[in-house]
This record gives sequence, C-alpha cells and structure tokens, in this order.
Amino acid sequence: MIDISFIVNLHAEGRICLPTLDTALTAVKYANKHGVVSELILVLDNPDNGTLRLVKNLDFKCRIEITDVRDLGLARNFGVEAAGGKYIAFLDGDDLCCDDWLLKAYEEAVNHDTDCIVHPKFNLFFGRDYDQYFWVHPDCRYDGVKLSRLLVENLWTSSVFAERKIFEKIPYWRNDLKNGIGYEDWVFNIETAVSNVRHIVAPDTIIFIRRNKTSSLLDNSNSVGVVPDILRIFSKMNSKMNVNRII
Amino acid sequence: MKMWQISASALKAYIPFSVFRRRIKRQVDLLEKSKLFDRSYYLLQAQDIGIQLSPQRAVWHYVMVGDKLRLSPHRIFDTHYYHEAYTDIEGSGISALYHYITHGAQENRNPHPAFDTSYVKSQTKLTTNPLIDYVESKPGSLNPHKMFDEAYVLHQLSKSHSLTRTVLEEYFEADKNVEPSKQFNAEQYFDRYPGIKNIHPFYHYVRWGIKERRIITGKHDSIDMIKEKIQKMDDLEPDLLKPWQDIDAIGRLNRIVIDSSEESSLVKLYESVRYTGETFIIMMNSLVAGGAEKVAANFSNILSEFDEIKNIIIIVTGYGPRDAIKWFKGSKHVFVDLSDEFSSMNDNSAALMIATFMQLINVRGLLVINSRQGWGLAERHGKVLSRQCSIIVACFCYDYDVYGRRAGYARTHLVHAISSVSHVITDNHAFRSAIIKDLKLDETDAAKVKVVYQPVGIANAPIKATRQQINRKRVLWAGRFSIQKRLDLAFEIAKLMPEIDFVFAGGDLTDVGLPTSQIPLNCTIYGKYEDIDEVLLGEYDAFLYTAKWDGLPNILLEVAVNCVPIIAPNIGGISELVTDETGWIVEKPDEPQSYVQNLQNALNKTSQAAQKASAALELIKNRHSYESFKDIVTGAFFEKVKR
Repeated sequence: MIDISFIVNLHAEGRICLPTLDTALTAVKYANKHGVVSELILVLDNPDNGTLRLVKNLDFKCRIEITDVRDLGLARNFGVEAAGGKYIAFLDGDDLCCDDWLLKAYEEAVNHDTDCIVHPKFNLFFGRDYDQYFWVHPDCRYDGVKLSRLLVENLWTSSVFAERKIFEKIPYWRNDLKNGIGYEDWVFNIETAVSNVRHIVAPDTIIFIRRNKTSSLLDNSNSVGVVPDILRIFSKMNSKMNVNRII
Repeated sequence: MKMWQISASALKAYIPFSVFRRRIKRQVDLLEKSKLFDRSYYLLQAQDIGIQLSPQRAVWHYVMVGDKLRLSPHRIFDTHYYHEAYTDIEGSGISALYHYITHGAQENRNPHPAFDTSYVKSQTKLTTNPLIDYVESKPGSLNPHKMFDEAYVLHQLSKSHSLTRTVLEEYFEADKNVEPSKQFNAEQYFDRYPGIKNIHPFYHYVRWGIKERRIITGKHDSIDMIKEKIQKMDDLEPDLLKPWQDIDAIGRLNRIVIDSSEESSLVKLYESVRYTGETFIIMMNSLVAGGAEKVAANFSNILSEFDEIKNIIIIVTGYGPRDAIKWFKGSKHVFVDLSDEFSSMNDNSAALMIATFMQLINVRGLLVINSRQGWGLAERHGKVLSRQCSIIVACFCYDYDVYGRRAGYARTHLVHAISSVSHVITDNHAFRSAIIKDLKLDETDAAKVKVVYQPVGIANAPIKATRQQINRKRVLWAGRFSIQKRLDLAFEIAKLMPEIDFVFAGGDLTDVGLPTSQIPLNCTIYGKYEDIDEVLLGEYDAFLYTAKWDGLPNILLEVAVNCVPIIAPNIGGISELVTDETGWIVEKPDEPQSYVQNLQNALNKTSQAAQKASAALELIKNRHSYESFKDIVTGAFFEKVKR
C-alpha cells in the first residue's frame, strides 16, 4: 500500500529538471525513511528529445509515464490515474522542494479532520537575474481567507498535496488560451474551496519556484488575457452564494 | 532670484475681465482661510524654482501660476498627482486644491497618492473634508492609506524624534528604514526596482506601483525555521541564491494581509445583484448629463421593461458629476460606483475582475458606453464572455485631438475589440459606414455594426412652434461649451447678425474660454440647464448648431420635437435628421457666412420654417419613438445566448 505518489510533471525542461528530480527523490526517500511509503512518478507530456533522454538516463529508479495530452492540467489528471498512492503531490518540472515537504504535508493532512489540500508555507521565487522573494501562503484555518479574495487572486501555487479522492472528484480542466480560458490551478483552488475542501499549509516547508523561464504558462496566460473558467462551477448553483464567507 | 510682485494695474491687465477676476477671487478667498494651504511649504517650493514670494502673495500665486507649475500647497496635497489622476479638472480653469475642497473630497478623489479619501471617510464616518480631518486628528488615530499603519509608523518615528506635523508628512521625510506597514519595506522595494531612482519608494508604490502590480515585501514573517533548507538547496541549484546574498534580506510577500481593490470591487458588484434572475450590465465612464449618458438611460429604461431581466447594474468607472441618474427610471437599476477602486487598479486587472463577476451570475448582456475599462473588458475577455451573454459596445462618432487626428474609442479600441464583441451600436448610418470603411471590416464584422436611432419623448403639444411677439428675433444655441461644439464659430455668426438676439445654453461664462470682448453684445449666456425644455420655454425662432464633429446629437431631436426650425452643419449623421425638407443643412460647416444665409432664410421665411419644423417632427414621430426603439432592442441585440 503506497501512502504518497509524488508526481513531477515534465514537458521540455531539459537540464533544468535535474535538480528538480534530485529534490523530489530526496523528499520521497525522506518520507520512506520515516515510515511513509512513497513513490516517485515522472509524467512526461509530449516531451522534447532532450528531456526524454535525460529522464531515460537517470541513475535512480522511478516510474516514468508518457502521455500526449499537451496540457498541464490534463497531464496532472493522467498522473493521478497512474498513481497508486492514497495521497498525491505535484511538483512542476523546474521547481524544487525541501527534503521534508512530503512528510510534513502528509502529517498535516492526516491530522486534519476534513478534506483538505496542503500547501507549503513558503515559496521562494528565484531565477537567474531575478530578485528573489518569499511568497507566504495563507492557511484557511488561521488567516480568515474569504472566497471573494480567492475569486480575484490565486492564493496558492500549484505544488499541492491532497488525498487522491479529491483529485478524482475535482480534476483539473484543460487550458484553452486561444479561446480565452486558462489558469487551471486557480480554477482548481476555487472549485475545491467552493466544495468545502480546506486549503491549509504545512509549517516550515518551502517550495522553490523558478522564474525567468523563456516562456511560462503563467506569462502566456497573462499576456493573452485569459480568465479562469469558473462559469461551469457557478452556473450550476441554484441560489446566490455568499462570497464573503470564510473558506 | 526674481521677485514675484503684482501691482494692481498689472493685475488688472492680467485679468481684464470680471468673470476671470471673480473666479480667481473666489478661489483666493477660500484658500486664504483653508488649513490645507501651507504658506511656508509653498514658499519653499517656489524658492526651489527661483521664485521669491511674500507670504501674503502665496495664495494668489498658487491660483494664478503655481497650480500650472504644479507647485503643491501642502505636503499631502500633490498638485502634479491630482492633475494627472483627474484630467477633467484642467479645462475647468480652477486650481487643483480649490477643486479638491469644493468637489473632489466629496467625489472621493485623492489629494495625494498616499491619502485615500474614501478610506479615511470610512474611519471617521464624517462628511467633513477628510484631509482636514486627518491633519487635525491625533497622531496614530487615523490611517491615511490602507498600506499606511499610522500607529506602527508612529512607534518607529517616536524612537528618533518628536512630531511637528502629521505622521504621513513626517514619514516621507524620515529615514527609509521606517516602514509604512509591516508589508512594505522601502529598502527592499528600491533594491527590486532601482529604476525609481530618487522617488520615495512608498510614494512610487502608491502612485504607480499598485497599478503596475509591482511586488512589495516586508520582513515580518520569520524564516528562521527554513533558512537551513534554503542553504542546503543552494548547493544543488546555482541560480537559487546569488553570491553574497543574505537570506534574511530577501523580502516576504503575504498577499492576504494587503487590501485588494479587486476584491472590494467584486464584493460591491456581487452585492448589487438583488434579485434572482437575469442581470444586465452597463459600463459607463461618467453620469454627467450628456448625450452618451442619455443613450445609456434609453437602453436601460427599455431593458427594465423586460420581465426576465431582474437587475440592471450600471457600473460607473470614472469620476465626475452624477446628474444623469435622474434619467434612469424604475426600480431595477443599481448604480455601482467603482471610480475609486479603478483609480488604483490597472485596466487588465479591472477587466479580469469584472469577467470573473460576470461568471458568477446569470448575465443577459453587457453594454459598454465610453468606459475605458469596459472597452478593455470587451477586447480582452469578450470572446469568452460571449458564451454566456451579448457583448455590446457603443460609439457614435470619432473625437478629434488638438492635432486634428481621430480619437475616441471608435478609433483607439474598436479595431481590437470588434472580433470579440457581439454588436457595435451607433446612432447614425454615416458613422456606421465610416467605421466599416476605416476598419476595413469584412462581412461578418460589418454585420455587427447596427444603427439604433435613439428615442425621444414627444409631448402632446410642442412647447412653442414660433414666437408670437416679433420685435427682435431670437436664436437658441445649446450644448456643451467645448471645442467640439465651436462656440467661437457661433459667436462669429452672431456678430454677423447684430439685428438678431442669440441665447447660448449649456455652460456659463467660466466655461466660455474666450475674452468677454469676443462675446458679441447681442449674445446672452443662459447657463447650464437640466432639461432643454426649460430653455425652450423662452421661445425661439430658430435653433443653431455648430459642432465640428458629431453623430446624431440628441439635442437636435429634442429641439425638433418642439418644432423649432433647425440650422445645422452637414457633418456626421446630422443629415439623417436635418435635410432640405426638415430644416436648413449647412453644406460649408466651417464658414460663418453659410450659417448666416441659412439662418436668414429660416428667420425670414416663417411659413417655410413652420413647414420644415412640422416635417422634422413627423420624421421623429415615425423613427424615434420608444415603440420602434423597443422593437429594435428586443429583436436585434439582447437575444438569449444558448449555453
């Protein structure tokens, strides 16, 4: 029985993914060492040759799953289907995580009474020629986060940890930038919050998020002017909701 | 250094007309008594640019010259900022501080980027001037800005010196390591954005940084427990920390503790939806009583008759008077004033917030009239929003800038928005043709451009067909006193017809912008009016219109229904109303003599004038009735979108 499947999503990261995979493997080993059975799964979505070659030549064992959905959200869903763990965590192919990320997130999730998604407490945005800063994630248990705030601003990054059933019930949706739809991780955060899944943080954890990439999905989304596709969430509601409610 | 002295005779030469003297005197009288005019601060600034003034002359200087030089009358009244943020004030001929005291504070305009008028009002709950309230308040008791925690600043300041001014004033003169709130560290902001050079980092942030969505960080969240992890990760990833980088000096951004204008706007909008059912949204820049606002009211009033539409939300995106509210009838209208919120939000954020709001509710349609944020929304997100509702933009004519180049949203935005919108509405065929030709629209996009003649109320009996007593004939000119309407041309025409009296309605002498010597003696300035009918009670023999550019102006419809003969230039869509059968159309619209000839004809041939006026009335009855307007609106634009 696997407790955690740690999914790293890859596409065309090339050499940049090597430290990512190092940290992911370390986090998996760290959890295993503390009695939490964990596996590492690399999901390659329409990978370029360089990335594929690097992954095939890795000097450690892990599961490699290749798909051609050509969408980050759908690639995560694909990873969920392939995963065997009760809990699932995602890491983008150019980000890094701290050693105890999986273990601390697991402990936080297990000790929480209701459905929850665990985020790292800190994110360090870094990159070559980039002025680093920490983005401190809010914790819905303590910070009085309102739905209205989440509707205008994505409050959490995409490196999430949650029970597999949550991803199955609320899968990611495909981005369609050409038609003005994007921000799949923001939509996921909204949809889960509206479904009473609590967004909490694991104390003293950190994910390192690389910026200044040649072209990131977020930058593309911002420049072409897309919206989070929340119409399908709210058009189903029969009565007016309370946007001022604490989530 | 030159002395600034104005002798009485020089003053008279400088201000030769009573109207200007009155306007200046009014300002000087008020500012002389105001606590917001800090003479010593003003004199220092004047000195900095080589002007030496006596304290007695400071207010005079500010009103006449200093405001134009962007000198500030108080440390927390920023003249440059005020003029830049509120461009409508420039043409009014009054100084920024006078405007703030008499109108701006009431309209929630901000005197300084670090002073949020509506935020201060929300703390004081008073209707008095919030800047004076702040200046007079006990230090630490009022926060001038959401990002300025006065008690926190006071605590830092009190360590170093005693206060002689407000905390905000002291803060800007204090060392940069004093933090305005736990979320903002000035040194970190400067390190991140060295391009701000010698501008105070907090000033830069509140004036430009918020809109530009610049990152701000503080030092409040402890990173002690993760420092070792960061250090370890640096061994693996060379780009993580720069050599010599002090981990403790890296800023921390905690978004949730920073107030969000987007969030407060969304809540305001969402709470304005009172009833379950369909909602219609109109976005407009202002509610000043003008032609575009009349069009908005016409649409809104018709839409309120649709049973299925339960809410009509009118989003006002700019500042200014709100006197057009009276035109919106019925209980379904809700006005949501977002001028304040939008002043600290960039257009893309505003568009995203409204697009999000629209996805939360059952929207039937969006109509955009003269709102920059509205046009931005249509352009940026129209395509995706048209899945759920009609997206309609309105434009009636081009504007023109001082270089004679085309301006206005039809010029600047339509070409980018046309593929994303469902319909473009205008009020005349001439402009429809112009748009299609200028933008080289293909068949599909050209079909989106629809002409909707605006309705006008037709009274049972016109106010007056012609005057009964004819000693001296009288001509009415009405409209905004603006460059577009060419008041100067109208005065020239009046000068050529000294035997006729001319009445000018729609503005007052302060709006004329001309020396009184250029106002002919046979001209009377009526002033501003609420309803043209009140002006028409004065009985006129003809109506003169002189605009340089226009669509099909509403004023002509309103005059025509009162059977006053019209003389108007052949520009824009005017010839769709004024023809040889319905009035006198001036073919050479820049030549005063052409207007004179037509006016003489209209005034001398009274039976022909009456005939033409009746023909104009008939045309309006057939084409501009509420019934036909409603039919068009129902059939053509606000069809239900199949989801």
